[in-house]
Amino acid sequence: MSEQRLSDRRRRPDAATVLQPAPQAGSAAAGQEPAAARAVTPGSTSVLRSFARHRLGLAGLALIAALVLFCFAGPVLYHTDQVHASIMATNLPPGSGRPLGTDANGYDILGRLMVGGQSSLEIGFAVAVLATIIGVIWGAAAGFAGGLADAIMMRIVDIVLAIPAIFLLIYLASVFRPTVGLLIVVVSLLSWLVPARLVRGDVLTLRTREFIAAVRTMGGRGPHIVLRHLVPNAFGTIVVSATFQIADAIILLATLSFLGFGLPPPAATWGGMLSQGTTYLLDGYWWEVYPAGLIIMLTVIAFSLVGDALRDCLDARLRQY
Amino acid sequence: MRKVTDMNRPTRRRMVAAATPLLVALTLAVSGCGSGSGPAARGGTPVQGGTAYFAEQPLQTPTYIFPLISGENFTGENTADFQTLLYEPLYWYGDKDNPAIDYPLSIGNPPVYSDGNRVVTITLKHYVWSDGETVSARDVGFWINLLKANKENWASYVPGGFPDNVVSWKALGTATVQLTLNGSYNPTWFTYNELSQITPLPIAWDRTSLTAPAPVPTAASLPDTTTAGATAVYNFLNSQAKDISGYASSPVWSVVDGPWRLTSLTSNGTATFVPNKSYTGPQKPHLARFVELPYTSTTAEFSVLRAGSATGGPGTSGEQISVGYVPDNDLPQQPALRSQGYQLVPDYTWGFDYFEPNFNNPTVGPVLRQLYFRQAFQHLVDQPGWIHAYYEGLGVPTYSPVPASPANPYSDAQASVNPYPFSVQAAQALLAAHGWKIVQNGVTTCQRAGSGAGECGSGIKAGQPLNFTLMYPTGTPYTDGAMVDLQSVAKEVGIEISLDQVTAATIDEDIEPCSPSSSACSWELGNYGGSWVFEPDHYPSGEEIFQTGALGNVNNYSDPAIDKLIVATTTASAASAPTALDAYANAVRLALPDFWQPSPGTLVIVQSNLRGFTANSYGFINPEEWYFSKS
Amino acid sequence: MTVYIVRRIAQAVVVVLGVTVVTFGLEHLIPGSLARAIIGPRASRAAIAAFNQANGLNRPFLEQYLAFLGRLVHGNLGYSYRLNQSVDSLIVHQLPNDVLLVGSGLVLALAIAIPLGIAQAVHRNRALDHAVTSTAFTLYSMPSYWLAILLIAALSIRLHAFPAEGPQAATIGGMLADPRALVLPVLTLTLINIALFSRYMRAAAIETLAEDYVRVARAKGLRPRLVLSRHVLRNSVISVTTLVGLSLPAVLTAGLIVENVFNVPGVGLTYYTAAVNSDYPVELGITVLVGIVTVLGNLMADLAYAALDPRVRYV
Repeated sequence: MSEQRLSDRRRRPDAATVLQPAPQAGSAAAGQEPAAARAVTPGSTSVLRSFARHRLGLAGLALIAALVLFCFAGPVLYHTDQVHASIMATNLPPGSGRPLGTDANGYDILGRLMVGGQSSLEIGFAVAVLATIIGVIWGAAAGFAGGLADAIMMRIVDIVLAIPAIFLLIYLASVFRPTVGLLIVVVSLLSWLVPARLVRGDVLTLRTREFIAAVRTMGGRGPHIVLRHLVPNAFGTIVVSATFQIADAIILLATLSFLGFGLPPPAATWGGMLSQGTTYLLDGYWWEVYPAGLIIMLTVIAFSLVGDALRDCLDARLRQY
Repeated sequence: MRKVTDMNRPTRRRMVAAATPLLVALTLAVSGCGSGSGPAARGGTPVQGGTAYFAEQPLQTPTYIFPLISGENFTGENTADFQTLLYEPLYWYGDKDNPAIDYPLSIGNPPVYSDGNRVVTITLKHYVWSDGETVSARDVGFWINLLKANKENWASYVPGGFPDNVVSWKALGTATVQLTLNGSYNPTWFTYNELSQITPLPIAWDRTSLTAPAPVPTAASLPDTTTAGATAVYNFLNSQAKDISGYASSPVWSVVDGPWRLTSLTSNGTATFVPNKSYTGPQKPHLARFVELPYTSTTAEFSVLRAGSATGGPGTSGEQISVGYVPDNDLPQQPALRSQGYQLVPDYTWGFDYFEPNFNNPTVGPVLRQLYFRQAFQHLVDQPGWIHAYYEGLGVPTYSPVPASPANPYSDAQASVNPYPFSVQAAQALLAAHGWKIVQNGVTTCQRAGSGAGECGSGIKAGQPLNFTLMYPTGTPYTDGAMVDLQSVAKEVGIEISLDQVTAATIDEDIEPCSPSSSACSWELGNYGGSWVFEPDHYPSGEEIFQTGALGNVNNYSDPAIDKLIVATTTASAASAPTALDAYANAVRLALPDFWQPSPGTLVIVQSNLRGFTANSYGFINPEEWYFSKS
Repeated sequence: MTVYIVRRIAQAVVVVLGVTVVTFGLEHLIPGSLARAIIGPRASRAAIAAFNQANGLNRPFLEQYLAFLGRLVHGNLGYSYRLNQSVDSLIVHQLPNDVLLVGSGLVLALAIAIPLGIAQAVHRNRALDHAVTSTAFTLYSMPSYWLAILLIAALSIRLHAFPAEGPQAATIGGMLADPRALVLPVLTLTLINIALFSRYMRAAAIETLAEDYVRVARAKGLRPRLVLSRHVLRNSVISVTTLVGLSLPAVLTAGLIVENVFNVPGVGLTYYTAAVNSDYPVELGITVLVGIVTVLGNLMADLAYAALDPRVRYV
């Protein structure tokens, strides 16, 4: 059925539909494929196909693959000791045997970027996925349900938002010793709030649209509407939010170590490297700052390109552009 | 007493090229060129007037003006950078480059001990309060009365110490006060550690409300003579001290005897002082104004140093800091600072540094109690390496509780010798000799349990691994580096150290004396990240740190033999005091009640044409000695 | 709508109470001796006992919490353990700084990011779009601490164009009288916010531009600028509205880095320092304030949705 609809859209001439006034779009909702309605989620093969044609998306994907290779295959090819500190080799500039110099503990920075990237990518990606899923479902459900359920769900968001995150982290640091898993859980629990608010905002406007009424008329139930119609139409916001989540999570790891809730030494993360390096910025130790900063930027860009491409491919109307 | 947990506590002290090569190297490396014979030179044509700007410690603004200060308000800013400018303590500690008393700057003449060191007689020089009252013996007694009634509000209170060890005080005339003690004490100890806790207060403060006129010394009955009255007076003064915005205009706080008086204190913490015209001390201020500037971080302070004017004095305006500090992470920028024209003065507080093993921890306590283990562990601490790599050269090693550096009149020759130099082989040998199976980069376990010779020690089970959790604070980069290195080196003998970085407040909460069965004893190794400063316990006897049950004895250390030596240091006669101190120091430096680590210094930065600044061993400042010169 | 607002305010009280219960509870769950953290590791037993007594720390949890609520109802936000000041006094002196700095950063960022996002959407996938996108990602990936120090190093230390510290005056008037000192802190805040807002704006505008009513408007011959301002802007700004609502409590807490680096005492830094130093009264007091502002911010965002999109209805 969806294939049929998509091909209909492709064959529809632009000029003709443009000249039709808006109300007609509404009346067409009952029967055929309404021009104003957003696309129902197309089949996955067509998404993949359109993604395969999306140049920037491919570029992003290639960049992500490169980063993953760098972090996970890199240490096999370029072996450095990231466990034993080297007290006589601290803060050395790039030179022979150390392409990116050493940090304040004598660790080789290139090697540390590789090993640190493993934790950063894992945590960043996991947090983005987890926080987005929780936040989207929560926000969409709240926005769609309205009334008391919306009020309760959003007040819970308010409460968690207002709790001092810093203080919560200090408490956790005094009771637990952080591991990758714990960090993922804690950072996700702090990060799902923004997507929840964002998606609810979108859903509030979407749920009054005609196509939602149409789906209801056709017998669609709440969860079906939320998951198959509302969420995909909020996809722009969701994707942007998710890509920011990755950046936020990676950089948040830097702040966490200030509070004693970072990964304990000798573990490394990009955010931790960046924050440690930044304290020496004015000293001229650029190699402790810019490589880590650059790789974080590349990661953010890569995921964002992929996210943008995904949104383009899933939102069929935009494919006309 | 005060732990220097802020790494940038500018304890100003002029570096003296002492005998040890390390110190000579430091002096050569750090002293400025072209600024005279030493850092912060004297000389130049003095210019009267001008405003000097002093950088307060980050987020430490003046918040408490009353010298009877409680632990909550006890900051370096409140005591050394605020109160002592207005209300002079009885004795001034820190004589230029020396931790001794600066008698010319003190209100009190050297104390005289009599009756077998049970009676102390102190004569006062002529100082006056700004309301006309003379600083008298009665003022000293006023302070003692207040302390006796409000001991729990005195930050430096030690049970059994001052004022508990003063049975009574007597005014023999206006300028002579006599204290009768509850026993015979080492005069040096008492002068340096107990009399250091006296700040004479004006009788004008001996009141419980502002409605009645200010009392005079000749008044018939003053409230402080009774315990209830003294408590009421303290409560009144404490409540007056809660009104920070009213400090500059308060009728109470404006009665000063120090070189300065406060003219303004803004809500963000900027304090402005002008010379106190009725000051009778030996050095009247040259400056027209002394201003203390608040900073939210060391970054902010350093940015102003780099962007601001390196030359001060009358006519200079805009951003500037006349006397500040170089944050530890910016120490590599010394050449840039010198080329701007600043003078750089390395400054080491009179103190020493260590981190704590918890002897009562149920799991690792038995291991830590073994002297051979502590010796082996100390062999893993690379003090010279840490000083070079993480302290940027701005540190002195700790080999003894009476350290050789900074230079002082108390340490002996042995204090400059490291009894447990960095040596992984020595650590391995010690452990192996006592029944441990060493697994490099693995986990070393006890192979021969038992308390006999060559065995691990009592309380240690067979197969017990050497795993420790080491807590240390955030915010001190040199500690970060040092602990990572310690973890790394320990792996070479199979000791697995899990590093646990927490906030400084968490460290303070968690490291406490405890009994093995309580949950408070779960900490294993703890590092405060800051050194022990001998203030107000200026004489380095160990009764506040290593004696059983001492307030600073947070790790449940107890050795009766050491306790005896410590008691000897506080009760010896003047003639035998040095021997007693040496005996104590040499026993403790070998016994390792704690693990020694380097003591950090501070790099003080001074504008190019500001003279007269000298570092003080305890962090006190004397802005009345500062002046701008023409060049 | 009035009923809705009244109901939301009632809920606000519940939220603030909820926040305080959680924070208060966490404080009591933290192991160790609070007195030793405040008075110092060498506190005498007498001093510790006096501290615990004076602050009611020996009483049961519920009693302490109710005492706190009692003080709160009388407008007493608490008295700092360490700073010898009341929380009210701290907030009164420091909040104006935050409103000025963070508020300016917010307003400027919105003023730039909204048109920028729309422009990006209109010229999608062309040079301008790519340039702005890369700049946005670069700025967003930079921790603000790094950005602030770079600005100081370049514009203050090297070029002496602006002072290294923010305005040091104690009043808003005084701060505004030193505009050169405002530039760097506000610039730091604005740049990062622009990155954030423009991305959301762009995404939303792209979707709105694809809507049929936009095509209709264009087909009717409406000038492009009016199409954008009348149709696209209003309908794309929902997510940015959400962010603005979420940014309101950030006025209190997000100025932390800028306050820290540019030497401006503000609520964000005080809040952070209180948390790190176990100064619970300050933390609780500011948490109450943050709670109130969070609720207000989200309420305002919700009301804005209704204003911007008449199809949104609140029952």
